[in-house]
Amino acid sequence: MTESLGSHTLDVVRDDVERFLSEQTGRSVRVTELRQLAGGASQEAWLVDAIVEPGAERLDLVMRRDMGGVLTFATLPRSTEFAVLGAAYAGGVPVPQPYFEPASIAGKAAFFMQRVAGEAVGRRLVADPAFAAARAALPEALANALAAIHRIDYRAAGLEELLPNPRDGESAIARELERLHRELDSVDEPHPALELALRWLVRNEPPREAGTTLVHGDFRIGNVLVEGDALAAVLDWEFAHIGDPDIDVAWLCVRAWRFGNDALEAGGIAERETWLRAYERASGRSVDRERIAYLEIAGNVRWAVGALMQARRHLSGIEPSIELASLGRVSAEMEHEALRLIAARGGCA
Amino acid sequence: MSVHDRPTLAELLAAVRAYITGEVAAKNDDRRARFRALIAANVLAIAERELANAPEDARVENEWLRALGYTAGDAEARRRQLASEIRAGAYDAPDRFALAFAYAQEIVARKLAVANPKYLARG
Repeated sequence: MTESLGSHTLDVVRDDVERFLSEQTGRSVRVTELRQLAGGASQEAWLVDAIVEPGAERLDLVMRRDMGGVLTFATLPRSTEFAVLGAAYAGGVPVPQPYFEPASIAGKAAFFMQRVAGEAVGRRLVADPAFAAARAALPEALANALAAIHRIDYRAAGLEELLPNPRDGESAIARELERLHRELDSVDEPHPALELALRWLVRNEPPREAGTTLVHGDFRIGNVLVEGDALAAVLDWEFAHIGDPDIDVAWLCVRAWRFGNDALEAGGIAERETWLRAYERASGRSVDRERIAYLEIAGNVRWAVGALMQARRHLSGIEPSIELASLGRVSAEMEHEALRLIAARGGCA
Repeated sequence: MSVHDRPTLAELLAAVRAYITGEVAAKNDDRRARFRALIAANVLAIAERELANAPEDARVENEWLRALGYTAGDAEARRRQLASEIRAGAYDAPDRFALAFAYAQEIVARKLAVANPKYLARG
């Protein structure tokens, strides 16, 4: 995302990575390759190749590192993301293994993890013939991974204190809506369409809870790695929280994550029912279709507000970026989709 | 007519967009840099469409805001008033909600016609 990375910055980062890795391994570590990877609109991802001496042992790592500016009010600090990743790894979720401990690299919070091979780019995963077999296998693989996430004993893993939690007597959905209102206010620009959608969501909140689990918070095509025909890893845990598992189930169905393959409503790779049934089989829990439809509308509002906030990171000067700037005008797509879905459901507040 | 000579504002934007697409993006070997150049070209296309549509967009929104009862202040102030009244529940009655909803659909369609007309065509 960084528009240009001066060689000075690169040297400072390299020196500090070598210092940290040498401390952690108790040996001499030399970085042989260091470059920023594409993607990652909210934090940096770096490829780090290093040699550990003596022994010439290779370390193939990815470093996740803070960017300027907070993405949304729900973004976790890197150290917490590190802990969640550890719990997911221990729980058998396909994730990159987190290594060492949370770090500070050249003044920004960071952590290191295993480098997992695979394709994450959404528009390739939904359209490239090379991934046809993967697309057939993904509903079940994604369902198994998501069910494993929702089964994690988050209390035993020590995540209850680290992660955002619904307050006593407050539903996870009500908390989500309250946060969306605050985030929209922070943008300081009137959005009558989003206000209407939020008003509809407030007045039509489904009564029943689907339970309380660890929620990934950004489980979708674009945030998973696919290698060959298989799901290799679930990435981007910075929105993890304790809440309603249906939020994850519905988020995969939000139109933006179909990457243009509109007809396949589950992430551009499967029919919605195929996905929901796969998740029901994997989790042993039946999913209320009405709640998913409701949470899909909430998901569109969430990404509409998220895109506005991303643009503010550019506008505030914290993170100058043409890509972030352009997201301010992407928000209308989710406004359009939210209104379309509400109209299809009768449209009354 | 503008006091300025040609190229017009629209023609300047189109020229920069053609340069970015044809030179900067096409001849850049760095995938990330090429990706950002294409985003920049798309941003210029948005600016060109906004320039063409702005007078009609403003006229239509003004009519809608008047129809909803907002006559004082500039468009931004009236939009703000509408947004806060929707949140406060002033549009909960079915006929009021339908009216504000129709306004929102019209404005969002106009925003998309500038931001991403292909998305709008997908329905």
